Amino acid sequence: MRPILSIAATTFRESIRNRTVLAILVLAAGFIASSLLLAELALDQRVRVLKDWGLFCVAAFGVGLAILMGVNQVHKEVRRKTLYAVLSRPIPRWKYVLGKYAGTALTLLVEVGALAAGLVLLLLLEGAAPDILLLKALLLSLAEILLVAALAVFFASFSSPYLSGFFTLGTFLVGRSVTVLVDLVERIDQASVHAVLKGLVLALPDLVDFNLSTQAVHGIDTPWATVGITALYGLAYATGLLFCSMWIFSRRNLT
Amino acid sequence: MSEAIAIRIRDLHKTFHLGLRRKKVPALLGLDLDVRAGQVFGFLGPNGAGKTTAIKILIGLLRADRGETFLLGRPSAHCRARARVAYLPELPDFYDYLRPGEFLAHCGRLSGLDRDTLRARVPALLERVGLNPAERRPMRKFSRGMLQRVGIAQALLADPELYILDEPMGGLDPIGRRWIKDLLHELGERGKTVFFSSHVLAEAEAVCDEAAFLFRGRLIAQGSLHELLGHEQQQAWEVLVEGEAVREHEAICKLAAEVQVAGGDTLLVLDAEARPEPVVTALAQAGLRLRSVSLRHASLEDVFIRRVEREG
Repeated sequence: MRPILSIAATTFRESIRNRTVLAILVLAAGFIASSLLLAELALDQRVRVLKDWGLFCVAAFGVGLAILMGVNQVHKEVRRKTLYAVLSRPIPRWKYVLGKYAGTALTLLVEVGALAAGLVLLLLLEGAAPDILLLKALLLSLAEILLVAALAVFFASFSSPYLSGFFTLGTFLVGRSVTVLVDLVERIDQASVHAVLKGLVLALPDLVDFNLSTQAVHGIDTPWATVGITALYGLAYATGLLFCSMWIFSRRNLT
Repeated sequence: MSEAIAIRIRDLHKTFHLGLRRKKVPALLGLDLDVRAGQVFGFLGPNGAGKTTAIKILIGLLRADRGETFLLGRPSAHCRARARVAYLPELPDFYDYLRPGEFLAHCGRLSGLDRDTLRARVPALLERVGLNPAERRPMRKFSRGMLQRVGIAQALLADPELYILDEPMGGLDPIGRRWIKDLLHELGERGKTVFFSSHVLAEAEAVCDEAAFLFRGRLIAQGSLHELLGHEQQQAWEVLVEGEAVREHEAICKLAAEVQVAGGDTLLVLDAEARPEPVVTALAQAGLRLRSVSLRHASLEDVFIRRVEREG
């Protein structure tokens, strides 16, 4: 356990001091603050605009950071031989992958937490108390970001940084549109093609339920059970991805 | 397997497949090697000979296509085999935003050192490698030589039995290279096994007890320095003559195997079997001034080049 914690702590320390990541975080905070300008156009819908734009920024920048960090963490260390000093010690490679993911997840937790705190602060300045619906939306947004980070680590375990980034972004976008894909597949008459495509769609992460911004903005409650099941689904999917990443990385030649 | 063998390599093969066409590039072609415990062993050869590939397989970073490798009696593919081993990669790079002390503490935790040991050992090591003035600086601000010193420090941290160092003198200035040589001597005196690769044979010669030459993925020679140098007819007389006028004396030049101009003077290198007296007499008769007569010992570099020429 100690090696995993040490790798996670080192990853967190390195990421949180990284100037590129900090710059993106400042930009994200600026975008969230820009909702005050947008709210000026919304007349009596100021709070809704603040929530809608704020939740969008948290999700978009969080996913962007998850892809950037998840893809780069391992690649950078392989390219610069940083991980040689780690893997030449008596630790199995799966611990390295797990520690890297844990460190990335902790960094994302802090960064998304900071953005969420910024959004809550803006709402308080507007005189609107943040409600439980907003909290649920933020929690599932965080779960989705951690799932995307696991996707990035998975693709990075066997492909180049650009391809990994492309695959992760593509899977995220497709995952957000899974219901559309399911409808399309249901229209296919040929049984064999239908079965293959349905299998493929089932293998993709279903990210539709992670987006609760509409519910949070329009005051539609989502039961805690639904939130919990969605979060558990994300956890299970991320765990599966991490197992695959550890298996692939353990067999990889580090040239 | 005898514990006296620190590294054992048997029939090691590795081929890389490069590019979209998976072009085959053989790196190791049946390497066999034994390194006895307690030696400073030079793993020598030109760039591209396969030294780093063999080391990476030993450390578990690469998988061999065929063959077996053992570290201190254990198959090197098992991560536990690395428990008493330290490794310095070639031209290492470390975390940009970490300070050297933080990085060493991280490495120590991975090696299983407890907190108290780290608290005592990390500052002492930073001082030993001369990095204590830079201990508050993030490593992205370090020069190549400073990074190499961090690499050495992380290798020394757990005080292991076996050191595997890939080009330890790479990127260092003359003072740094001298420091590494002293360090290798010291480790050897303390009974540690040091296995280091180098393509700079002259520097390796100064520190190793035994050496192996690798060329195009094959071992072409192995033995103690005495054996390697002794097997060759390596001694030759060198006669240094003032000025370049001797080059006009064809009869004298014919007595030498090689005539070189060096710093305004002329160096006559004789055949291995030839004696210098006839040359000295001829020079005196021609009225040329002698600067020195010396017996040159062949270096590892000479031996290596001869072996490579023999291999074709």
